[in-house]
Amino acid sequence: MTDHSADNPYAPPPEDTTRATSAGTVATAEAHPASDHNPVRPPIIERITRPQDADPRRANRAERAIALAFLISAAGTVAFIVSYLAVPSLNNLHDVHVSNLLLGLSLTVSLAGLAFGIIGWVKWLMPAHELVQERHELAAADADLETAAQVVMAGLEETGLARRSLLKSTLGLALGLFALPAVLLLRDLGPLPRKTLSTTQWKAGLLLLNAETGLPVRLGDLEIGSFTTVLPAKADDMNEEDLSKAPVLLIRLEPGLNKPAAGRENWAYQDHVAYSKICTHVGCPIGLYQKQSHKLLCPCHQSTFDVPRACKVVFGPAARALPQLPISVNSSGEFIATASFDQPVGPSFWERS
Amino acid sequence: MTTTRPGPGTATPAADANGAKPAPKVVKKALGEVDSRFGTAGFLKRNLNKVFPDHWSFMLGEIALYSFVILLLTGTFLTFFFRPGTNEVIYQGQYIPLRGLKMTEAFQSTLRISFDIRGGLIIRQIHHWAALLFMAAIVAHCCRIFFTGAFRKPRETNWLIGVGLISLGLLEGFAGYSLPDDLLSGTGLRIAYGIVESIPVVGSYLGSFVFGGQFPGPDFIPRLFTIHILLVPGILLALITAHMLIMWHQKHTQWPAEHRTNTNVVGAPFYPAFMAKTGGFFFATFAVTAALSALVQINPVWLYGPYNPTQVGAGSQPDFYIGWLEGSLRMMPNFETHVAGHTISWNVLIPAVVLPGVLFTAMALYPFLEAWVTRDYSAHNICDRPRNRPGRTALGVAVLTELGILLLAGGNDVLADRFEVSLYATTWIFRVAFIVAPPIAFMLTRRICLGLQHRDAHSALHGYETGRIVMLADGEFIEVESALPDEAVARMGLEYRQGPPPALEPLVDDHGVRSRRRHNPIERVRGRIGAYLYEPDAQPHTNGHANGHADGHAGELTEDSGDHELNAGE
Repeated sequence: MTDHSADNPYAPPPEDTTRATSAGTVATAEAHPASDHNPVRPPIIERITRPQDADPRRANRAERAIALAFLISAAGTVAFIVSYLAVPSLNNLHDVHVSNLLLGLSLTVSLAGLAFGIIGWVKWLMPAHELVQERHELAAADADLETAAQVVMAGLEETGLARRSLLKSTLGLALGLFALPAVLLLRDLGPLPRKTLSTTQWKAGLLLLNAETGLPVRLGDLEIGSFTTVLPAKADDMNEEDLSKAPVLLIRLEPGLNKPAAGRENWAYQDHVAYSKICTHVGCPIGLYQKQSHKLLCPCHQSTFDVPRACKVVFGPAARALPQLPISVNSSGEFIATASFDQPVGPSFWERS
Repeated sequence: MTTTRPGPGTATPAADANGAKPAPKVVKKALGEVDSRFGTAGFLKRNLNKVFPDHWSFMLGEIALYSFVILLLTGTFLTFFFRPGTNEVIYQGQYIPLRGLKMTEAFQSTLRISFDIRGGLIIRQIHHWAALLFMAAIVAHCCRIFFTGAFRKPRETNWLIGVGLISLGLLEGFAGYSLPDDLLSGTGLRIAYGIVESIPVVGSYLGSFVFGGQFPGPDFIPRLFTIHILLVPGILLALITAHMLIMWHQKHTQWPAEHRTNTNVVGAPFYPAFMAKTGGFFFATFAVTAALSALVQINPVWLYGPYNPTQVGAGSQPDFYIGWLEGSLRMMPNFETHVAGHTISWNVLIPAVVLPGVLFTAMALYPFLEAWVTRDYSAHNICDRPRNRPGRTALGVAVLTELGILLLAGGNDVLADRFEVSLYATTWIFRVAFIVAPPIAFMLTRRICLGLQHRDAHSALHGYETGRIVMLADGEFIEVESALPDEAVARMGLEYRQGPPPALEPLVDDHGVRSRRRHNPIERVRGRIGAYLYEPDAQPHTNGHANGHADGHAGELTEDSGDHELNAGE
């Protein structure tokens, strides 16, 4: 204890560390004559006598209960082996579930039996006495501390580090430089991002292919109020990186509902609009279209975009509208992109203007 | 108290004199063989006799430790079959609904573990349940340490290691959750990439380096595998070892009780009682995870299907220990700034990077901040009862309230669906609660603690009401009060309550001369925070004990005349 406790009006006075004992089964170590104290063990501070300590028949009963727990555990282990061998091959989902249940329950029985037996053994049969042990003072005596400090200083003296400043600075330089290769080696963990976050595979003239079937989406394929996910190429032909940025939602709104933003008057085609499917918050694909309110809802963090009004954010943590893909229909009635996205799709990043 | 261990050299002859049986020759010879090579006798004598205090709350850390052991055992089994590859394969396995689908090797091998390897599913489920238990036990253990003040000197280092263990546990859990490359975990990784991208200046570079290019990147699953099975578990194992060795060396804290002081330990010896009990407890922890895995399905990746960047599952939820970050992402308002051709997305940066950073930094600094405001730099080995530190307890409850709100917000879609509330209303409720609830929780907890302290002080002074009504000679009826047993009073830990921090040096000295210097404003603030947070408020019952009796309870009868004196500031 330091000075603080001395200032503390609630701190115990030093002599108050033990309370006077009251009568009963409680007795302090002092109360026991030395002959009663086993020097091999820490001193007993509280002698606890349980019914089974006084009555050997009760102790034997406890022993039998513990033995039974061990037997149940052994039976559980046998059951585990049997369940493993009894279901030799997992042919269907039912087998898998039965096997899981049998293996799991038999394992539980074998573990629980061990746990019950061992803990019961300690609680019922091993002595319940409370022992006491003094804590050793962690802090060394001041003289030892002084010696240790002197050893540290003596060693430092022997290196001459204080005097030889040339060594100090050149060693610092050498060690400091040595950190660079470790960092440098991490350089090839990945390519520099360059423009990859800002570009997608979409460009003018590409067909809008249905993400599931890989077939071009034609005018009239979509019912009023429905939508589909489209890609610039067949999903199987795209790498995962492009596939993660390219998904676009093609939505057919009710006639006359779309309110195109300024400069985007010809980006839609006959009530069909196309917006990036990748949320501008942290990049989840937006999976929910609310037909009645014409809103897109990201299922991850519930950013909500108003489709007829250029997919502006109306609720949630996303800060920017979904990028729009300008579309048209070619001579054979298939949807095509008339340009690439005019801005990066997906989450914001530092280089994004 | 004469409670020293038998000193060295007293063992054999003195023991005989005292009636202790000499050990059999075989045992002594075996130990001697080891001792003559490693010098272990002194070590064994000291450490086998080590006394461990017993309390249920001390077992929370053990649950975490044993979950970790279960994770190592089951995880090793899983690595025998799991293939951390991103090559695409066509599934031809047992699970019919997914047959013919393209998926990565990682997902395919996860299905193989679940459906084709006998015992694979149970081991996979035990692994996942043990991971949840590991994090839950760590959090509960951390709360126990916090609310009992067991982080104070000399245990600050172990607290710091603990904070490291929690944050690494989060990382390890998230990495493992992401490995199967199913639709749910892939969505989680997509979010993680978005979060990395939001970091100003270096975000897109960091994302590209960590993932090996753009999301998802072919190198990422193998990298995650190395991180999950080698790097992080290795660090965890090293930190846990250090955590345990330091605990062993400094000895465990104990609750206040009779005979227990700041300078001793009372409990059961390590060998055999504690050793056997804790070994039994390992089996108990294992049994619980096995039972859960047998009866409750967890992470059925086959229902989610393989990861496909164009798809997402509705109601996607992370594991609970990530849920608070999910909630903070969901309820953050959509701020974003565009300056000089650059974008800073505060809507991602604050909830997913700044918030956990602030929380873990504050946790790491807490022991030092508390010592600074209370000016209490002494060593503490007795656990505080939470009521006896109202300020700290209230602060902890306020933080837990905040985390609880974040966790609930992470499931707001499920809540909105179950309780038929508007989704947007739940977001607003949580936004308001995030600001309002913690202060309320703080005030409420502080009041409750002070109330409990008053009750303790009252029953220590007056004893308890026996229910026996006595009529006095003048016709007055009174209820007889009986003093509490010493043991009960000792358990209240009244003498370990904290006093106010020492007052600042007065500006006017004994001669009435006013000092020219003024108190440092930081010191004044420090004193005020210390006084508000940590000063107990139970003095009315402890001050002027005798006077209080004289005027208030003149006709009081007690069965035990020896009232308990409190060590109050008199």
